[in-house]
Amino acid sequence: MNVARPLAQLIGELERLPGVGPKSAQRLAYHVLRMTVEDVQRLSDALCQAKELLKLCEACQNVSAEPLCEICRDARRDPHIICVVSEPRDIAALERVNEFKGHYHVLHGLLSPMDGVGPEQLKMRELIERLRGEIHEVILATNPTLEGDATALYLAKLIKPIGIKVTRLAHGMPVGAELDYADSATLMSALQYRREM
Amino acid sequence: MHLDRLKLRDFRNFEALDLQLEPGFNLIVGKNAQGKTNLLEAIYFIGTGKRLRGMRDHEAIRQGASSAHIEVTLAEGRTSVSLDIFLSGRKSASINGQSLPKASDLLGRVPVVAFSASDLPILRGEPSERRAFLDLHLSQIYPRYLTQFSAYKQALAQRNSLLKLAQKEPVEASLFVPWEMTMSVSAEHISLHRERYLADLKPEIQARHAQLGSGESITLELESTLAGLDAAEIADRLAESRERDIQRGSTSLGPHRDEWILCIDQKDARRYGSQGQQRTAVIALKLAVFRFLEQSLGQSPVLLLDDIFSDLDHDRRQKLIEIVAQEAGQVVLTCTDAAQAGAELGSHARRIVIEQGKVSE
Ligand SMILES: [Zn+2]
Repeated sequence: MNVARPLAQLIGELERLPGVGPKSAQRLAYHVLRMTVEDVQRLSDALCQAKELLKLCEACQNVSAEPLCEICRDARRDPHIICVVSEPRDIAALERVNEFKGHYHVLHGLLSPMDGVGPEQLKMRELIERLRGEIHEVILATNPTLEGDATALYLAKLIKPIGIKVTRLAHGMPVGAELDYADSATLMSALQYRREM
Repeated sequence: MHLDRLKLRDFRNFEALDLQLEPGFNLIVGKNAQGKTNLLEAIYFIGTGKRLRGMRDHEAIRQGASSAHIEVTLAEGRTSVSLDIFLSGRKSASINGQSLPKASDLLGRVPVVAFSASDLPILRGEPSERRAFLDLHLSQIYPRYLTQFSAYKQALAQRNSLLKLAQKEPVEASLFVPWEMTMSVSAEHISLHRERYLADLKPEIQARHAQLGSGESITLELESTLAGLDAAEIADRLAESRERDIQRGSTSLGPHRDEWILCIDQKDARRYGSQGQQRTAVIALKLAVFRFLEQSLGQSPVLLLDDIFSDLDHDRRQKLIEIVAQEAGQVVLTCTDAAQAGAELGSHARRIVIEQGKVSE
């Protein structure tokens, strides 16, 4: 196909995004061409600003515009309990349930040697660092998949010798279910009935 | 259990097919390469998710089409079960129009047992083919077997990746533990089921073998690297074998290394035994599998016979036909020549003639 170079470039960049195939990349690109200059500017500003302004929270590694995220700054929350999740979107799922009032820690992935992910590729050192403070309980809320369970088990063996209580979300959640898709009632009972590891 | 109807769209050489099936015998007659085996292939595929004769998944799709559709209606409860196969290799299954989370969830819904002229690798081929045979029939009976089996395979792949990494750089032992825990729990489950299944088949295969007119004894043995161990013991063994496994770059023990052998008169049938003996043993084995599946499910599986009569001598053919005529529920069989099926089957069967991907009755 003979496409003008800037258009081909735009399609190429869009195609690199996850879940965007050649066809949707083309459709999006033509859509951008039909947008007003102002709208395109707004979109491109939003992209750049998100990248520029958003960093990881120094404490919990969640995405944040400030050095410390809103949750870590919230004085009403209990800083002695840390709930460990795999992705930032898992925090959103747990927050919707409105049951948990402690702090979080985002690993940004799960152990998976097949994909070259070991402890160094995850925010584990940062988690262990935080445990030097006064922490009473660590809740391991990784998904109940093979990799989620393996990561939880690895962390439990690492953390328990420090003398901190380690719990895992109760398996009210169907095996293989993701936090992100679990309904609120399931999540709430999974939190209430978490078991000690 | 029987199938009322088989519908195909763009499957192999069938552009569109809507075929009514008899509860009893269905005899599909056609010259070679007209598509008669493809009908069996379709039923086998929806029953097991696997191919019958070395067909690749994407070869299921008619040339020029983007997906293939197989649909069967079960007589009981008028349940319709369908499977769509896409060029990408993706499969999607549904029951009464409700799609299932995974295509493998279909397993056990349409229980089938197939006999084909290319069954001999079960005896003579690689250990992996014998394991696949066990795993298929176990998953048809116990849905949880498949879950444990997939968990095992996934954890095994993770451990193997760690072993390879450990050849290049030091890897702390605690990183192996989580994968080995999943592996040992699943391995115990898998071994137990395989062992019990072979033990259950043993008397049955012996009886069938005798029925087919063979005087020799038949035994089935599982050769396992983990025989009789429970999950905790398996975990210990895995931990002990780490050093050795790092050197070889793969896991040296576990169900993925199991082997089972069939002995005819105490002799390993992989090496000894004539082609004729092996063929009879395989048929006895399949009949035993059929009977055990029937007992476990409380209903007769669909029996698929793919052109097996031409391979058997007259006596064995007669005996097999007798057994099938007496015991099987629904049977779909292919023949190049209707006379081969014998008068017994021929007279009761509904005859379906296939020519160039079309049915002419
Ligand atoms: Zn934070």
